Order: sequence, then structure tokens, then C-alpha cells
Amino acid sequence: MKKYVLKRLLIAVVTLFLITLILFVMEKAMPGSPFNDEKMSHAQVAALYRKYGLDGPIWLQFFNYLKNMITGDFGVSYTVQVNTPVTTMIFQHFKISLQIGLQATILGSIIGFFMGVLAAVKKGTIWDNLMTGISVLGISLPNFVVALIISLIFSYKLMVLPGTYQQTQPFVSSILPTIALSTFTMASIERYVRNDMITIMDSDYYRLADSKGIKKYQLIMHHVIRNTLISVITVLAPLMIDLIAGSMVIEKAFAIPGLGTLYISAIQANDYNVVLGITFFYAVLFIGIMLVVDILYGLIDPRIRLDEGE
Amino acid sequence: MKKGAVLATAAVACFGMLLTGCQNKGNSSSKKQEKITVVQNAPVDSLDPILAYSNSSSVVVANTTEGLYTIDANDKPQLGLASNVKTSNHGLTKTFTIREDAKWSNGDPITANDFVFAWRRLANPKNASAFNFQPGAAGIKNADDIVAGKKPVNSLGVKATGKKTLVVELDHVVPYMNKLLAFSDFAPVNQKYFEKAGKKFAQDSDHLIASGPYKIKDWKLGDNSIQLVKNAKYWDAKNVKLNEVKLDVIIDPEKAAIAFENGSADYVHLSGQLVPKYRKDKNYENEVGNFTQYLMFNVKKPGLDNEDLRKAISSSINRKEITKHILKDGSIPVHSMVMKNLVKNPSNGKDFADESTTDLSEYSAADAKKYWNKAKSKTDLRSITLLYDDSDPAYANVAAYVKAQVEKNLPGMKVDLQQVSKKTRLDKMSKATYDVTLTRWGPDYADPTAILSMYQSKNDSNYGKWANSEFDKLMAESNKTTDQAKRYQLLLKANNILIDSASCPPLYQNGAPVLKRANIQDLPMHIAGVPYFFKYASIK
Repeated sequence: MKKYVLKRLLIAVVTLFLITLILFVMEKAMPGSPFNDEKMSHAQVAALYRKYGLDGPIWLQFFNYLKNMITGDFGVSYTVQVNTPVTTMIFQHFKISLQIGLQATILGSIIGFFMGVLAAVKKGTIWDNLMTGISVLGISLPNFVVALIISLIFSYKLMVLPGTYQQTQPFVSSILPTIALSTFTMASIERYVRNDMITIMDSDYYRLADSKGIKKYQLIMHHVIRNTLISVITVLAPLMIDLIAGSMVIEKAFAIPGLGTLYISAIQANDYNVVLGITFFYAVLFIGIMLVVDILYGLIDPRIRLDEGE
Repeated sequence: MKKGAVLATAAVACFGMLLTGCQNKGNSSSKKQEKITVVQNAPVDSLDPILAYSNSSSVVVANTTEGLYTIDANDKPQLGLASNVKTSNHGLTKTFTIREDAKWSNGDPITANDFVFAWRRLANPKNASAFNFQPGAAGIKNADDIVAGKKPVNSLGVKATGKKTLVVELDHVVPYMNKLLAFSDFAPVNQKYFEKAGKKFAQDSDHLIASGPYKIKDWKLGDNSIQLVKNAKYWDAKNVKLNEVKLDVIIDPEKAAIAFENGSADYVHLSGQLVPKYRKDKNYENEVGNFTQYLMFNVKKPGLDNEDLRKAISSSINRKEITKHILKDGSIPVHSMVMKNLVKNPSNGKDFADESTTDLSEYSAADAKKYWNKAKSKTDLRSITLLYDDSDPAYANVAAYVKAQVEKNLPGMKVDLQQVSKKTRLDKMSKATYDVTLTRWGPDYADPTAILSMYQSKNDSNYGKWANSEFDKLMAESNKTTDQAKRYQLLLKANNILIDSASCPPLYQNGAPVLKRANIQDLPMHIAGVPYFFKYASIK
């Protein structure tokens, strides 16, 4: 186990280094600079390059960036939030994305889970058809369409919820984005739970338990749902990363100043350090969560052995 | 079961009421609350007076700071934090007296030294302010040399000879100096406060103090909303009517319009697509906007150095059709690089734009044909690429229209369209790797030089590389004369030379359609510089 985690960590470090290197080179190769502006003279642009150390050779810039990065200094923003440290910016905006993402994950997985259980237990009935119908809709309707529909109803027609994010009311204004963001999770979880439960209910050990005369309620709770949780975690982890990373579409639809919004504006403005910093942060987040999930598998289900061959 | 249903209904009703209560209803719910919410379409990038670059930032900085001069409701510069100014030494020395009652929002008195500190900070090349050319443009002694690193920062022509006495020395007299000094980058900075705040200066409302009519409450850089509240320590606070102005960032104009409709905003900008929907609304207003959209030719490109070819292209475009059928947002065709409503003739009060020559920017298929026939014998250029960017969805339509018109009126000429990001377009312009581009320019101050000076042959912003010695001479002369009528004529003549060259044919001046609560008064949009000053605004 220890060896496995160490190996994964080592791969992670190499991956992060490569991501940083490739992105750094790509950014410098892109047309334009952070300081392209009709009204700035060559001397002003040159002064800005000097101020931010962008006038040296690219290998030196990269070396300096890595050196600072190791000490936790990801540089400052050039244009989006002038002179604000990138780490401050990431945490400031990530906090908002995280709140909405977690809410959506919790809401989507709880509702999806119950819908899946209902569909599996009542397999073949109208309930099953209804739940499947909703989940097909949830998967096939893009979340910006859901966003448009619910903001039309609740913000424009009924006027009970803000259609744009208000920082003074972080919870109230996160309700609509949370709902829009949770539909896909809800639908995915419903499908997995339903399929998994039906498979388990067809298995020999379930039939054995059933023939022993255990009550249906206890059977479902102890023998089916527990096993279903594994597949829920498998699906939930990548879904959650997507949600907490800040959905760019939903953030745009509700004018949420989250990490996704920041990422887009930094890319548009050629704000090198911010783009690099957020990409690095995303990479750490993805690699970290996937690692945790892999370790969790082993804890939940001893059949999955991480240190195979050891 | 029944009890449960009743409880559930009650819970839903309570939740609904709670949410309704939470909704911000803007000023529509109570007319006398003296508070408005204005929607801006870009986030604030900085509130440091020398670094705030985006339009949204400049609105906040301009309303929370004040310099020696300020812009009044009629767009004219008036003394602000200075109570009087004396001119001596043939106009080359100006002695300002700072108001006795001028105070920072934390109660500190505003002193002459606050100006010296701020101006040196502005000119210091190490700070690389995008506005560091302004002290030089205002004629302040040694400014250009300091920015270029040739002289020390403390040689700048500004000194405090007393607590409230500021002496400004000039290299030369600049007729519009007071307009420049009204800019926020010339606003004072409290040295003691600045040094104490260190790197956190202007990063949040705890590290920023105001010298202007408003101060900032509960804010940090990166927030999508900013609250301005009346600064009680401001010298003219008694004339500031609105107690609170909230500035919300909503980039999508449709979302902004919804915010207006559901009462959470009182002033929003509309896009051209939304104009037909709101044109009849009682809250709809449309003023001419603050920039000229034009084509800029790269005259270094063989073929495009041919004036007849440029004139042929310019004459083949029907500006009225662009504004009426494509943009539909209140934009107007323009014939002058200096836009409408910016400058008036000091002798007769006529608008500069109306007095400008019109020949080359009027549509005429016959003229286009005439110039095209002349050009064809001198150049074999038969294909050009029109570069435009994606920062406004209307540009693609305008570019497509220009292509269709040119190809129709100049048989044999092919126009390719190239859409890129704005940064890429500017990069291509600065490297002169383009043929012709759709671009725009908005003036920083209400003077023709705010537009015309960029076409001087040595100006860095002269991306078309057009050069004309007569034009340069007129511009230099206009900078020397103090006779306003003569100066106006020199600049008008320069403008006409520029238009006649067809190196940058103007197309239209943008419209600025807005939804603004009908009860908001005295909040006009300014064409030059910062669009709004809330100091004079009120609610009826």
C-alpha cells in the first residue's frame, strides 16, 4: 500500500512538472502579451516586461517561476486583478465554486440515490419508468438549458430568487446554480444505482439471503445498498471534481465570480501567472482526488487490491 | 397525513416568503432610499489610481478620489481639492492652494505633499503605470525624462512649499492641462497610509481611503460587486445626494436586462440585439457613445500605400446601412475622427464633427468606381484581409458587410475576413502584420488631441504607419498656441488632412442604449474619460 501511494505520488510530481513546463512554453508562444493595448506605448510595455521579469530568456523565466513555485509563490496577476498574488486569487474564487459544487454534489447524489433505489425496488412499474425518464432528461439536457429554464421561472417570472450571483447573499443566490449543476449528477447516480441494485438483486447471495426469509427492507439496506455504494463512489468522484472545479457554463449563466470565470478571463487577458496557477491547482485537485478514491476502494471493498504483486 | 400536508405547505410558503424577502429590489421598491445599483460589464482590475485600467475600475476610482480639478455635470473641468490657482512665469508655474477642509475619509487632512507623493509615484518608471505619459502630456517639468529613466524621480516639477501649497512647474504650456489634471491618476495618495498598507494597498476596502465623494465598503479585489457609500469627510459632501451606489458586474447584457426587470438593478447597458425589445420602454435611453469605430489601413503594405485604393474602399461603404440595419443600437455614421458631442468650436459653438470634411466618408458608388479605376493602373493589389476581433458580436456582421460592399463596388477586389481575439489583433497591429483592421478609439479627455495625436508619425499608437509632415506640423503648432480659436482651426485642418488621406476611414460612433430608472436624475454619460460621476446624481 505504502509503495503504491509513493509510486503514485512520484508520478504526480512528474505529471505536474510536465504540465507546468508545457503550459509555460505554450503561453509564451501564444500571440500577444498581457499588455497589448492600443493606448500603451512601446516604452510602457517594455517597462511592464521589466517590472514583472518577462524580459529575460524563456528558460530563465521558467527557472525563476519553478524556484518561486516551490516556496508557494505563484506570482501575481498582471491584468485581471493587478498585483494580487495568484494563490490569494485562486482561494478567493475557488471558495465560491467549491460551495456551489459541493451543494450540487450533495443534492444531486442524494436525490439521484433515492431515485435509483426507488426505480430498482419498483422495477418494471410506473415508478421505474418515471425515474428512468427523469434521468434520461437530466443526462440529455445540457445544464445551461436547465439554467435558462429555472432562471426564467424563478428569477424572471416569479422573481423569488436572484438570477445573478450576489456576494451579499451567497446562499440564496447559489440555489439556482446548485439546482442547474446537480441535474447531471442526479441522473448519472440514479442510473448507476438502479443498474447496480438490479444486478445485485439477481445475484446468488441475494437469493440465498432472500430464501432465508430476511425481511425485504433489511435485505435492501444491508445487502444491496452497501454494495451499491462502491459504484456510487466510482461515479461520484470524477463528477465531483467537475462540479467543484467551477463549471464555466453555469458560472457564466449566473454571473458567478468562481474559479471557472477567473480561468476564462485570465486566458482571454493572457494573464500568464493566473492561467498557470489555476491549471496547476486543477491538476493537483484531479490527481489528489483520484488518488484518494483509489485508496478508498481498497478500504470499502477488500476485493480490490492496490498493492497487487507485492 | 393531513397534518403533514398542512405543515409542508406552510413550510414551502415560509421558504418562499423568506426568498422573496431576500431579493434586492433596487430603488424601485422605495423611491426615497437614495440608493442605486448600476451594472458594469467588466470586473474591476485594480483600485490603485495609477494602475486601475479597465473602464469599471476607472468609474470606481474616479468616484472615490478627487484631484486638483474635477469634471462637473456639464463635462467641464472645475477646481476640486484646490481652492484656487495662481499662474506666473509666463504660464509655466502654477501655484495651487489645497482646500482647508479637504480631508481623507479617515479624517487625515489632505496636504500638498499627498500630491507630490502621488505624482512622483505616477511618473516613477519602476511602477510602470499605463498612465505615466500623462504628467508629460500635461507639460510637467522633467516628466518625460523621468519616465524614460533619464532623470531622478524627485526632479519632477512638483513641490510642496507649505502644508496646503503646491507648486507645479511646467516645461511648456498645455492648453488642456486642467482636463488632464482631473484624471484619477493625478489624485493625491496619503503617503503615511500607503506605506503602512504596503502590498495590501487598494487590495480591499480595509486598505483604501477616499479623497472623493464616495468611499468603498466591504470589498476585496475579485468581488463581483462593489458598494460605494457617501464619504462624510468629503469637502463637498453636502452636495452629494445619493447615499449609496452599488456597482454589480454582469457581463452578459441579457442577464443585466433581467436584473433590471426584476428590480435588482437600476442602470444597465443594452446590446444592439436587445434594443428592439426595449425601445418603447419608459426607462429606455440612448445617447451617442464614447468611441469611433473605423478601418485602419497598414500603409506600409505594398498597394495599401496607394491613396486612391484606400479612397475607393472608403467610398464603397454605406455607413448609414451599417448603423440602421446592422447595429440598430443608436450608433450614428461619422465623418470625422473626432466624434460628435466631444468638442465645440469656441467661436461659433458648432460641433467639431459637423465641421469636419465629409467627402471621403460618404458612400458613393460612383466615387468608389472612379478611385478604383485610378488605383488599378498603379497597383496590382487585388486581395486584402480584413482583421477584426471577437470582443463584440457586432464586429463580425460589420466586417461581413464591409466585405460585401467592397467586393460589389470594386469589381475584381477580394476581401478575406480574419477573426481573432482582441489581444491577437492588437499584437498584429503593433507588429504591422495586417492589411486592414476594424478598430476603435475612445478619447481620454475632451479635446481633439486625445484622438488626433495618435496619428503623428512618431506616435507608438500609429499602427497604420501613416505619416504626413503637414499634419505633424499642425499638431505641433496647436500644442504651442494658447489662442483657443486658432488652436481649434489648426486641429480641424489636421483632422481634415487625416480624413482626406483615407488612411483610417471612420465608420460610426457607437450608440449607448441603456435602461435607466426614470426617477434617476443628473447621471449623464460622459463621452471622454470616465463615463459616470455619481456626485451630481439624485433620485426624483
